[in-house]
Amino acid sequence: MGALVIGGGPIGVGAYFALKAAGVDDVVVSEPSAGRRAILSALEVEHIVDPLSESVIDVCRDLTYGEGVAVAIDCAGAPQAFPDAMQALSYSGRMVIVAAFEKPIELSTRLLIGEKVIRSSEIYTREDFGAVIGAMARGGYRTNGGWIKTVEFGDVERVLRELREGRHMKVLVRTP
Amino acid sequence: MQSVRIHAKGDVRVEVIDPPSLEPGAVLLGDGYTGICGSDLHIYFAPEAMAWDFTRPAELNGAMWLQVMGHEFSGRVLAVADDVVDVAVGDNVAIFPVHTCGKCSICRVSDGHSCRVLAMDGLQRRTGGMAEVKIVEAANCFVLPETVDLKLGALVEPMAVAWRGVALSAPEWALS
Repeated sequence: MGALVIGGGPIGVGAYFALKAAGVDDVVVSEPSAGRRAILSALEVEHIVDPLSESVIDVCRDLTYGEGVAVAIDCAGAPQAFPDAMQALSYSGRMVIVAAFEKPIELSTRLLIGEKVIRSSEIYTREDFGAVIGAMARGGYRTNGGWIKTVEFGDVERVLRELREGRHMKVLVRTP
Repeated sequence: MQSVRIHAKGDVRVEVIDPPSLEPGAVLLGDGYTGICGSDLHIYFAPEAMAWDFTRPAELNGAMWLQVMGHEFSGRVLAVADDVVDVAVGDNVAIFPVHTCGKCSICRVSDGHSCRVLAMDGLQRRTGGMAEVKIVEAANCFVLPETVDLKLGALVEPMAVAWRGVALSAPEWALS
């Protein structure tokens, strides 16, 4: 069974690690930023797609004998990425939207055909919280590749602006 | 003690505030890290676009700006109240930052992670990650095993967001 993660930012990386913890062999991560794709590569993500130059639909179908992936996790909130992801799903495939959408997305029969499910998700349960710690203890979350940076209290306002410009992936602020 | 507080849209300040004192059921936390989240960017750049109005008291607990920032945080336990038994001084912990009413229909059938009046540390609470010392309910402390350090501990919250999305995508997958 295959899965697609839309967006290779911190939440997309988290979705990737969770899918691997669930035992999914083929996870495709779609990410338009070359810098973020380099980080995904360092994290040993098995299928990395640049949606601006490759077809996410074709990659997902090629991995699944033409059927499409069972699951897509939207961690991007990009209206242009959503239609391809819906079409990359198999019959009765499930789309979970974790991302926030700043712009509306359009639905059409072309996207919905095949008894698909679209579900939203925002906040975890206590059970999820404990399960993540368990998976971390088993080594399921890699922190290499430069996706995590550490800064001090005095850097926070500057880093907020830099994050807005897409200049970092995940920033941790050290408690002095 | 040093803290990072948001005063208004586009106004984040490093400033000295009074340290909290211990109360029943709580622990004091130092060290550790706080992650900066996409929602922190929304709060700083466009709070008017968010579901919450930070200029009015939160329905659950009355909290409003000024607010110590940071809802993704870890720390080391500095002190525990006399009635706390599950957490000990010196433990490294990740904080479950979600607070709910406990009475609504959602809280009655689940742990309330979709409670309508939900409030979070670092968003609408007296506590947030970016303070030298913070008071946290012992019940919200998840003790970290030795193999999970304080940096990973600060990543538990965002990784749990993604984990939840994956858990909802395919109930038959063995996530634990």
